[in-house]
Amino acid sequence: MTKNQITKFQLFFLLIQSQIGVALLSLPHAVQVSAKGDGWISTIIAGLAVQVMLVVYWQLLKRFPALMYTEITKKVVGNFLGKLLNVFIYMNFILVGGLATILFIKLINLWLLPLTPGWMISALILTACIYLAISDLKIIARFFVLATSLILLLWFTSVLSWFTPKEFQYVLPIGSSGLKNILLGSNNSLLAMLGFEALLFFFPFMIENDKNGVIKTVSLANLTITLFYTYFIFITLISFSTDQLAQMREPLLNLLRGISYNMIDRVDLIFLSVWMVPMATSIITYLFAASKSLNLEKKNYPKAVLLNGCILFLITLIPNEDAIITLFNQYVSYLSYVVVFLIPTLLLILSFLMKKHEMSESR
Amino acid sequence: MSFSKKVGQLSGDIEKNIKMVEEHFCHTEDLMKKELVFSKQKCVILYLDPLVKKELLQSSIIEPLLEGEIDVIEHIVHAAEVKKTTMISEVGKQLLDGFCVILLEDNSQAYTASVGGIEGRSIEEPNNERSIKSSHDGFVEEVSSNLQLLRKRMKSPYLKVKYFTIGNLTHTKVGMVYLENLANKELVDEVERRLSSIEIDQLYSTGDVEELIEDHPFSPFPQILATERPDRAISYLADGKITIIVDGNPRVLVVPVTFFAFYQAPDDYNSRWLVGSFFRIIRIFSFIVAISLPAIYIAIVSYHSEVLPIGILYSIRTSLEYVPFPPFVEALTMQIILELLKEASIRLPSPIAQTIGIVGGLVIGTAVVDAHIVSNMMIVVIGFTAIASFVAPINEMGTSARLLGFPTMIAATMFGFFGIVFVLMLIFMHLCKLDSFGTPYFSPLAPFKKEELKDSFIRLPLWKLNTRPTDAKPAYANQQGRARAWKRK
Repeated sequence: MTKNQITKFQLFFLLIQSQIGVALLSLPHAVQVSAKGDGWISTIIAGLAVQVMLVVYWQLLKRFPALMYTEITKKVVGNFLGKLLNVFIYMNFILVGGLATILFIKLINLWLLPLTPGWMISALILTACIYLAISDLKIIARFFVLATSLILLLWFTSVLSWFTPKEFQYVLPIGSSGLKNILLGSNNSLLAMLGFEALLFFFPFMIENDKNGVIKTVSLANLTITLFYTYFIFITLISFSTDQLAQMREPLLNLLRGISYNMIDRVDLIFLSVWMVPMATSIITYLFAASKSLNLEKKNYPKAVLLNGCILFLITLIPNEDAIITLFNQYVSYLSYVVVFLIPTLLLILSFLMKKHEMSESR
Repeated sequence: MSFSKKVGQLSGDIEKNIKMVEEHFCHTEDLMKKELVFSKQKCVILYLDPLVKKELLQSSIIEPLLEGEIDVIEHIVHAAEVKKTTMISEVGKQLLDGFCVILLEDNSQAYTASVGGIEGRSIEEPNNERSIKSSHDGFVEEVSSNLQLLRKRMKSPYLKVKYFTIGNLTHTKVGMVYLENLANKELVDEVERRLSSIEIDQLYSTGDVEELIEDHPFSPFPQILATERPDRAISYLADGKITIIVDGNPRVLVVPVTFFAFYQAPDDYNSRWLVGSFFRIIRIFSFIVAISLPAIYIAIVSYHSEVLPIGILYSIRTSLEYVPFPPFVEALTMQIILELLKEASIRLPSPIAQTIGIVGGLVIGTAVVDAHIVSNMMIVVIGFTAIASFVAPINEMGTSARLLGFPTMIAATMFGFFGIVFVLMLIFMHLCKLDSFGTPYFSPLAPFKKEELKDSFIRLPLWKLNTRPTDAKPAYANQQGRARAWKRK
C-alpha cells in the first residue's frame, strides 16, 4: 500500500519531464550556430545517440536490477575506485543542476522580472524543488505526470504560431551545411537532451513486473522527446532566417511573441510562465539524482536533499555574466560526457568481461 | 483531578448498594429512587430522571414488578433489553445510557432495563448541502436515526457497525459503518486503530474526530469528507469506504476521500450524464478561479500589462486612474469586506441577513467605487472569485480555496507571474504529496488512473461505470453486469 515504487507509465513521464527543460527555448539558437538550416537533422542524430546509450543502460541495468548507478560502480570496479567515480557522478549532477538553475534565473530576469535580484528568484525556485525532491520517488512521479499535461498545453500554444509567415527556403537545400556541422549541432542538442541518465537512478524503484519492458518505455520516451525537439526546431527554422536566429537568445519565445489576439497580446509571457514547471522538474530530477548518488541511508535522504539544495543555491550566486556561464557550460558538458556516456559504457564492458552481475553476487 | 473509572462491587446488602450508586453519582439530585415490594422482597428502582421516559418506566417496569409472581426478573420486565451486572462502574454506565437499575434485597446482582427515550429533531433537508433533484432527507443528531437512514437505503446483511466510546467525560458514542467483504481490511484496521487510540476528555462533534484522525493536520485541504446527506454517505459505502457517525452530530465523516470527491454532488447522477459532466468541469474550473484569478489580475496590472492588448488595457487603466492604493491592498480590502459580510449574515435570521446583504452588496459595493477606494475592475474580479469559491458542493473545500487565494495574491504582488506559478506549483506539489488513509489525495490525476477519470472529473453514463472507484482499494471492483442488457439480443 505504501511502497515507494513507480510503474512503466510513470517512468515514461519522469524521463520526459527530466529531459525537457530550460535548454529547449534556446536550442534553435545553439544548434544553428554550426548546423544552420539543418539543425533539425542534428536533433534526430542526437536522439539516435541517446537511443544507443539507452540500450547500453538497459544492458547494464539488466545485470544489476536492484542497484542504482552509484551502487553499480562500487560493485563493478571495487569500493575505492567506485567511490572515486561516484564523486564525479555526484559533481556532475550538482553542477548540471546548478547550471539549469542559473539558466532558469537568467531567463526569468530577461523576460519576466528584470529588476528582481537573482538570488531571490533562485531561493524561490529551489524552495519549490526541495519541497518536492524531499519526498518519495513515487510522489515525484505523480507530480511529473501531472505536469506533463502542461507540456501538451504548450505544444498547443506552438500550434498558434503556425499561422505566422513561414518560409521553407530557410531549411533548403537539405544537408547543405555539411555532415561535420550537422554533427557539431548534434553535440549541442545532445546537451539539451541530458536528463535521460536519471534512468540509472529510477530503475531500482520500478515495480518488478514492469522492469522487463523498460527498454520499450524509455525508447518511446526518447522518440517522443526527439520528435518534440525536432518539431520545435523545425518550426523556428522555417520562421526565422539564420541571421535572425543568431541574434536571438530564445528564438522560441520570439516566435510566440509575434502572435497576438483580441484578448491576449504577448503569448510568449504566458508560455514562459507555464514553461517554468518543466524547467523546475528538470532541476528536481538533478536534485534527486545528486542526493541519491551519495548512497545514504533512507532516513538521511531528506537531509541530503536540503544540503544539495543549499549547494545549488550557492552555485547560483556566482555572477551570471554570459562569459562565465559559457565557460561553466563548457566544463559541465565535458563532465557530463564522462558521467553520462563514458562511465556507463566502461561499466558495461567491465561487468561483461568480469562476468559480474547481481545474481552471482547474492550467492 | 482526573475522571478515572471508579471501581467497586455490589454486595448483598441493598441499603449499601443504593448508597454506593448514589455515591457513584456524587449524590446528584436527578437520580430518582422508587421503592417497591416485589414477591415480598424489598426492591428499589433507580434511574436518572432526564434520560428516562416516565410512561415506559411505569408500564414496562413498575407495573409488571408489582403484579409479578415469578422470581425471575428478566421474565417479568417488559423492556427490550435487560442486563445483569455486579460492577458499580457498569451500573453507572447503564444509568447514563437511559437504563433503570433494579436492586433486590439480599441479591448482589443489579438488573438494568432500557427505558430510555430522548426526543430528537425530525429528519429534514440539510441546510448547507441542498439539492434540487436528489432525495431531501438529511442526517440528524442521533446515531440510531442516522443508522436507520443508512439501513433504509442499503438492505444488506453486510452493512456492519462498530461502536466506540470516546471521551472520558462525555462518553460519546462513535459508530464506524462499512460493508464487510467490500471495504479493504487494512483500511478498516487502520480506522479502528486511529479511533480507539483517541484519549480525550470531551468529544462533541465530528470536527473533533476529523481533527484527531486525519493524516496531515497542517494541510489547508480537508482530507475527510463530512456530509449530512444519507444518499451521499451510502454511495461512498458502496465504494468500499468507511463512514464514521458521531452521536449528537448530524455530520457524518467519510474516509478515505480524494480531492475530486469534494467537487461532486448527488445531483450529478440525477441529471443527464452530459449535464452532470459539464457541472463537474465547471466546479473544477471554479477551484482554479478561486485560487488564482485575483492573483492573475494583480500580476497583470502591476507587472505584465503588456500581456493585454491596448483596448482592454485602456479600460482597466482608466478604472485604476483615481485609485490611490496598490492593487493588492484593493484586493485585500474587498476580500475582507466580503468575509465580514459573510460572517455577519451567516448567523442572523434571514430578514436581517438580507438587510446586511443589501447594505454590503449594493451600498458598500457602489460607494467604494464612487469614493475611488477600489476600482471597478477589482470589484468584478473579487465578485467573480467569491462566487467561484462558493460553488464547491462541500463548503470546507470552497473556504480552503478562498484562503489559498491569499498566498497567490501576495506572491503575485511581489513576483508577478513568476510568483503565481511558484505558489501554484507548491499547491499542486502539496496535493500530490497528500494522502488520506493511504489513498493518494489527488487521484485519479496524480497518480494518473485512466479508468477512474470516468467518474471523477466527468461522469460517464451509469451503464459505462462497470467498475467501482478503486481509491478505497475495495475487495472487488465489479459493481454491475450488463446494466442495459435489454439493448442486446
